[in-house]
Amino acid sequence: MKTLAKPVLQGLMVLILTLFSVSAFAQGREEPHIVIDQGQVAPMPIAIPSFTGTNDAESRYGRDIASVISANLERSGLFAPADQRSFIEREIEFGSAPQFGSWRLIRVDALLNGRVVMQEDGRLRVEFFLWDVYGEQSMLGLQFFSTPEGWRRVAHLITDAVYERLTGESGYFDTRIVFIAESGRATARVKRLAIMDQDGANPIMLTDGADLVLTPRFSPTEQEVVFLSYFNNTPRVYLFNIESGEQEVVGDFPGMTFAPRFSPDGDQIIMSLIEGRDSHIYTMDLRTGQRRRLTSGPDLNTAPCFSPDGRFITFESDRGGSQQIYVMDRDGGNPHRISFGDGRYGTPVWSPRGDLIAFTKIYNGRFYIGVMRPDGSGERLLTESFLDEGPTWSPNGRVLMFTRQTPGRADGSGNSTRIWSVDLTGYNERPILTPGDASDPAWSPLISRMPWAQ
Amino acid sequence: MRLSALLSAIFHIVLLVAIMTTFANTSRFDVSVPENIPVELLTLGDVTNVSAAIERTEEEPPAEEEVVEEQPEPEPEPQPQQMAALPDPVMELPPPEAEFLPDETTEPEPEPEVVEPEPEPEPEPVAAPPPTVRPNVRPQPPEREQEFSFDQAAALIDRAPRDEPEFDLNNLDLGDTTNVQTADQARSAVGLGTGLTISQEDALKADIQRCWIVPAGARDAENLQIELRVHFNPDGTVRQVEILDSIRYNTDGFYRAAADSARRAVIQCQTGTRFDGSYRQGYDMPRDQYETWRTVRLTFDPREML
Repeated sequence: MKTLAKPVLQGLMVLILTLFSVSAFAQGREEPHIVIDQGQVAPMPIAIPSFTGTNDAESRYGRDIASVISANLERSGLFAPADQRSFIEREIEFGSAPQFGSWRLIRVDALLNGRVVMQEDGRLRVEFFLWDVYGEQSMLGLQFFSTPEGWRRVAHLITDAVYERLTGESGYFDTRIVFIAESGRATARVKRLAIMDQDGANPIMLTDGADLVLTPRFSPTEQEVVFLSYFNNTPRVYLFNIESGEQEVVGDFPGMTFAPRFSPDGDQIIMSLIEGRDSHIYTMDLRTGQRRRLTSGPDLNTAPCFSPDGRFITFESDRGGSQQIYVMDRDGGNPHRISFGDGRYGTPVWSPRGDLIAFTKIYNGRFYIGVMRPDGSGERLLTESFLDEGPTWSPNGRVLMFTRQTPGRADGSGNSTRIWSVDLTGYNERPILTPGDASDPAWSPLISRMPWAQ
Repeated sequence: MRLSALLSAIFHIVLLVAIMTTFANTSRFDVSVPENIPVELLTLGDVTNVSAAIERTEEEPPAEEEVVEEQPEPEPEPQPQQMAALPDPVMELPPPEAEFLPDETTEPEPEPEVVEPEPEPEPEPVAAPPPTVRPNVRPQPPEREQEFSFDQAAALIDRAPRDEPEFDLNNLDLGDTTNVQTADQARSAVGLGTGLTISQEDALKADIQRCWIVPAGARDAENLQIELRVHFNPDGTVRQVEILDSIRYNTDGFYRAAADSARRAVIQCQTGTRFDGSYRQGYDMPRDQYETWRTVRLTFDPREML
């Protein structure tokens, strides 16, 4: 045994020494590690050639679809579509890889290449590939089928798909906006309920303007809008069906109801009710008609909005002596103030992501649209003007629309009320195209993800 | 005899005890290794992001790099490759509807790679491309020089004689050097040294940062740290980019978009223009120390930018 033990021991020692040497060598050759913590805040360059077609009709649809996609992406502020005149590769065979080098020369990161085919059944087939110019690979390929009249929606759906693939966030282009279309002199203003695509196309008036309408809000589950109407000169909350055009009063409340909004499941409406000199927040179940008061005390409580998970409600109140934002449980318990900055705060709206609350702030005679976390921390002001108010979130919680009023001349002429949008980062503030003056925008959920769209 | 034997025994016992007590604590003998503090001598040519606080030196100006280098044999561009035929519609929605086209490259990839490793470009054309979206043979980095580049052209123009004085790295007017910014502490060392000097790391970092579009405004952007391993060719061009968290890449759309963006930045900025206007093909890494930067791990961290 002894004769065996000695060489075994020696072998073990050699092995251990070898391991130590290798380990030490490996430590000395550890790969460099570099942290990149600075970058550019810039839109991504993308090339969107006109979608191809084999005849004039197909080519026309292809050109229009590419144009709508390009405008959508450019408006988002996150993309910079390249000028088509700079393209070197003019014809890309659909289904084949493009000449990536020629697209790198014009410094685009991504390329959207599609075509339109008019099928025998009269429908359009629109298909595309999204290419990573530097990675030299396809990132996404989709086919859409539509009646020719639906080409615009196809363009919005393609934009959503491209946006989602390149940013990771769901898009918001296949959506609509309800708003108040305003016309007439300041003393005899006509306000009508209207709806349009998010890019301002296809505006439709939903009411005739006989009664004053305010604060429309989209249902998260149905083609319905809830809003305030002065029907018979009594301000009441009404429910409007977009498809049928029918409207009905919500609840049989004795006094004036206002500031309505749907719950996240669409089953309830939360709103304010005037009681004497105070106003209180109520919920009403749309199926049972059951209503419930959530606030108490001699205060003005209004502008309620549920959190996206339905567990909390944010609202504005003057219970602390000035107009501020509060959060309470869904049953009205544990109300606490979250806005503590200078000035007054109102119209809180919870982000669909749940991570932020948007608000209107009034300070030193100026109006601001801003966001803060639900605990009141991290306040950021995104816009400032003579009068900005009433923010509404895009379905992905990335963009806000709001009303901006521009003062007119001393004689009262020249003032305007428009809808504007701003990105969550505060960049990319721009007006939304509307037919005339417009206010009180409310963003719809993604149409393609609505139950009635399936 | 007995006495001497006894004395000898006692003496040996005392000696043995002395030895045992003296060397008993040798195992507890601590060797404290001082922290490894990297010290390097910098010359202006080594440093990129430096404040105007460097003394003029009498050194020889660094040899100007060739703007247009000797090119390897050109390799033909990969031919566009035919995709698999589109399938019949599987799913139809009310107008308009969508269905996925075949997208072979969006399948989970264990190692999302950008450029196929191939140190020696083969000038052989590809005979029969397989039916796949991603070409099997990619243009090797040196080939990109074959394409017309505005940067390259601009660099050539820059070399034309001009009335202005030559841009001399060692005779720069560095202005007021009173507000000198210096590091207040040494950088902690890793292992026995990473092989790259701080200035070389800074140069690489500065080049990549120019191309990285930060995912500002994205949900939980502060948690979107992207780890890449970049494999370089000896000429400083990128051979392959690995996205290290491939599981998250294939399951998290935000991570995937951010990782693609980081990878694009590494590939995109391997060519560019130096601050002196000259064109570079590949990152400016010390060619003679290739082994030290053959692979580099990069972490893209947007927290500072949000």
